[in-house]
Amino acid sequence: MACLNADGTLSPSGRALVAALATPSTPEEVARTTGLALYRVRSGLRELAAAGVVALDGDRYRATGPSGHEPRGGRGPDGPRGGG
Amino acid sequence: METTDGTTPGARLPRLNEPAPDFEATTTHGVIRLADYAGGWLVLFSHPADFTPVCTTEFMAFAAIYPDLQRRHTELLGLSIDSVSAHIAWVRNIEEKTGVTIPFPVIADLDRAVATAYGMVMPGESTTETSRCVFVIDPIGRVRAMIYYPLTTGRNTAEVVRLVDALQMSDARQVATPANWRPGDKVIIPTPPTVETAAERMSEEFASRTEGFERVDWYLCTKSVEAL
Repeated sequence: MACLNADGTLSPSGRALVAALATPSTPEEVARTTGLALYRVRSGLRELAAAGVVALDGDRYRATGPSGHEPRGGRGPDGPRGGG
Repeated sequence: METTDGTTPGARLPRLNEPAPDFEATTTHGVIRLADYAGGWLVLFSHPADFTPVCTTEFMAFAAIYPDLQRRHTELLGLSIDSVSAHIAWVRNIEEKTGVTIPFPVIADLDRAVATAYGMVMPGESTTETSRCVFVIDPIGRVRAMIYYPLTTGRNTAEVVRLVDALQMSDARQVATPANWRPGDKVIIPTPPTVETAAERMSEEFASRTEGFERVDWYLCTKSVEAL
């Protein structure tokens, strides 16, 4: 995953996205703030929303906890699909 | 369901100016959907396999044009029937051996879902690898151009940039572009659809009000346009 590590902590891009949501923002605004490509922002915010780290209110995302918040629970040392 | 020759019965290949097949795919940059590129241009391209020589030269060439494409609001997305771990190992190896960073994501299409939807597997060449395909997809998700190259022949990435330039010019100015057109060259005024407009095209009045107008005949006229 791009924004969440296997242990449930945020990756560097995940931390950047959450930090950019200090104020609720659209994906386009987050892309401008972080310098990340818009496709990465949309993909990353979707992943973080599924993990409960951010939430979508209307057309804006907001962080659900303080910056650096980690998602509830981990996904095991080998990630969601196992280590193979 | 696949047949023994790797084809999918009834699979419909993409067609120009129709919606690009939708997808959600695992990539080296996470799970990406086609919709994530909405509002910008996308160049989706496939390569036969990781850790192969022609593909390695192509990846380096695609990396070289990535800044040019970004300036054109265009993203790159690679694909092959390899695992994401293989992709990661390969792009790391390219960087280690050549110093070239691969900045764009690469789809790990192990189940061939995207390759099948886009007709990237050519069983006459290989039933296990994708051919060298390029799909240019516009900001509203339509397939605007397709290029298919065989396994033996690396693509000309400068042509991919030129193609994006030509499509964007056509959209912005409602014109066509002649053979070997480059930005700054004159463009083709669309062919007159009626005898009335054909006659108008032959008039001096039309010529005098059209910047850089040149006429071979009523059906082949060019003009200058401002750069995008």
